Amino acid sequence: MKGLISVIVVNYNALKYLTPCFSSLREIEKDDYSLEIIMVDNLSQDGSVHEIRDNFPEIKVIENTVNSYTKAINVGIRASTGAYVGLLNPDTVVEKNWLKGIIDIMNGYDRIGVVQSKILFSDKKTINSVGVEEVEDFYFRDIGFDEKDVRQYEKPMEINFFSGASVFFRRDCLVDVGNFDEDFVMYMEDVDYSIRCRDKGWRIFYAPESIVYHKYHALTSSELCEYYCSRNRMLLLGKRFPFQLPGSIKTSYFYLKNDMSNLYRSLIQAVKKMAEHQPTEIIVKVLDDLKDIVPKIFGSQKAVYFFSQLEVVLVLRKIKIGIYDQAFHFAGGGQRYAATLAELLQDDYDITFIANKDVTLEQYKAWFDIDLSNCKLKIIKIPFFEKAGCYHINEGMVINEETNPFDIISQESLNYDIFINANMLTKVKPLSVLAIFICHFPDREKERFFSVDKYDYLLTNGNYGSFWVKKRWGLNPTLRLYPSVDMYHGRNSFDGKSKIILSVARFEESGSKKQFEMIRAFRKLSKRDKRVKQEWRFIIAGGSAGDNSYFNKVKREINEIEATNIELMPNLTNSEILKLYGEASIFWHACGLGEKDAHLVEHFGMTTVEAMQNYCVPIVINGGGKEKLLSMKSADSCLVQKKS
Amino acid sequence: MLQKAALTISRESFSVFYYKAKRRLKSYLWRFKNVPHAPVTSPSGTESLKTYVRLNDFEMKADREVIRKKLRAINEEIEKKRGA
Repeated sequence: MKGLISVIVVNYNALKYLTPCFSSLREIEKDDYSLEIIMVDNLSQDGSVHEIRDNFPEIKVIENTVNSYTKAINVGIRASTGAYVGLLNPDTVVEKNWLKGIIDIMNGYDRIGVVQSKILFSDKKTINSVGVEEVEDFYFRDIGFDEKDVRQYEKPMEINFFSGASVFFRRDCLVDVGNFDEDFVMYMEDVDYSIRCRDKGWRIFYAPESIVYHKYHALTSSELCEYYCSRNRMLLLGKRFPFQLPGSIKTSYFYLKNDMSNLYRSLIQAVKKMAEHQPTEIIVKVLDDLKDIVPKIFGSQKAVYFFSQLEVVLVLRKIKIGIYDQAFHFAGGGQRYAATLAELLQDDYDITFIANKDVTLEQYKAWFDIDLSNCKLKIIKIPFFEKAGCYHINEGMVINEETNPFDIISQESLNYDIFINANMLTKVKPLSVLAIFICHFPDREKERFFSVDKYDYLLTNGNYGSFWVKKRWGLNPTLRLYPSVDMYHGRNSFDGKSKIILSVARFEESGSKKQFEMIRAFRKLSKRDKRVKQEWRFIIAGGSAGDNSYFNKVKREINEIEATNIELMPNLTNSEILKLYGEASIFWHACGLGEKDAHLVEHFGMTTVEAMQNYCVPIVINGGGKEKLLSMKSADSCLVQKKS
Repeated sequence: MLQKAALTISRESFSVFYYKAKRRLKSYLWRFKNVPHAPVTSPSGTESLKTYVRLNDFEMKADREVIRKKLRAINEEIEKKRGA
């Protein structure tokens, strides 16, 4: 035996082509070499892996963890053991002489590191590629492409660039040159590799006797091909020819097709690529050139984003996130939702909370036991609401104003890479590089200054919110991020529960949480059943800020009826609430009671989830977000019909 | 969505942000996994992480401080021209 030759086939959903391809490989003349065939599968969904394992047991199948062609090649090369390693597209059929044609050339001279086959289209008459050449402006094309094969390329020849559809490498060459660049994902990785081979002194040849028939673009769309070719051209320039990068922008397909967003992104990636490979002086010089071109192409605002974003991309600073919440100054489920996110991310990101009223981050420790010590806080008072003396920022008050009072927040959003509108204020137009709108529930119709459609991402906290966002605003939420629930008290059963009915809800000025109605209901129960009166307690906990008229009303009611088994507990700390959840047996949440549209007042019902987590039996109104919540197969839930 | 985001640098920041947020929130929720009978809600129908392409490790050869200063100076210059 002369030795081992490896052939790597990267597959993605190419099942229908694999059998002819591998069958043709079984038939080739091996010239006393033994053949090792490796298929690297890129997360195919067409059953290729099982099919090949069953029908071609001699083939080594490797399942890649991502769908990336270049990564798959590297995985395959690492797994291969042959002295020569071939790459072959799956949508090909090889001729009997395919291997021998290559080996004959390879054996001719030991500095030949790469040999490409003669690649014909599947009609067997038309040439696909006998090598790759540069046309102009760093555009490349296959030599002989679409020409009738009339034996015009019958002699072996040295080429500058190879095509990866059917090509062999000498093992020493692969070791010397290193991995394929995985940032290319697919297309033009072969041009990059060709340049690197030649830099190291390896020569690249074309072998006319090694023939392969190729389906060509059978597996990738031409759109995808165009995208990667255009993008990777810029990556290649950044990496290898940085001085050509600024001048190449206007000859890019993206520019010519007015696809400015892909041009912008590709340019950023190209600069990143340049920074990976080039020294300081070159980068500074190219940045200087880009400084003149980028504003002309994208406009000055976008140019500022561009260079600011480069700081992040080049890991020169952390990503700046601004989280705006107009109700940040009083505790609620929405505030905890965003604060939990911030707490989790604060070590990796530069996070600033933007509030409209005086508050401190320490307050969140007391309210929710959330540590925001690595976050910053910026209080921006909105003159419109200050003048009106409002404690609550209600965007519904902005009706006939000529200018948008929330423009001050839009301006602030400019200072961040990511601006998060955390409490669904619809009138803030984001000006950050990237903007996220978190919507717990779309409780306002589309009004003047409506800007939710200007955000890049629209997050909801569940299916219920998503449904209403679509219905009310006609927008499709980008994704769901469920609220985290971290109120488990540590009791894993009903043991230790007391005869306590608990309610945890903010004392809304509007009375939407219905504490008043619950007091009356409990009183009725007490009158009807002596055991309730003697043994049970009703505890009403919740946040109340400022001079809250509704809270005062509830307090008066309890005093007037002289109920000794009803306790009002405003503004408890997180640990106190937690203790109550642990002790209570029943949880009442009446938000939505008597309301025509329950969904307008209760969108999720976080406290109900917290209570359930602590083995309280929830008794809630059958409407709004809770309806969905309790349909989540939770045990021990009881729904009260609105009318009852 | 994740795959699309990961393919583009301007979206990369969000990809990382979302990936981290999702991963951490997931582990956060799964802290309750071992609590017997505790109600655990897990997102259904969200995107598969299989399609998420991790960003390659990035290492810059150049002097970081020089490049940082250069980028800031460029932006100041653009802002100044805008103002003028």
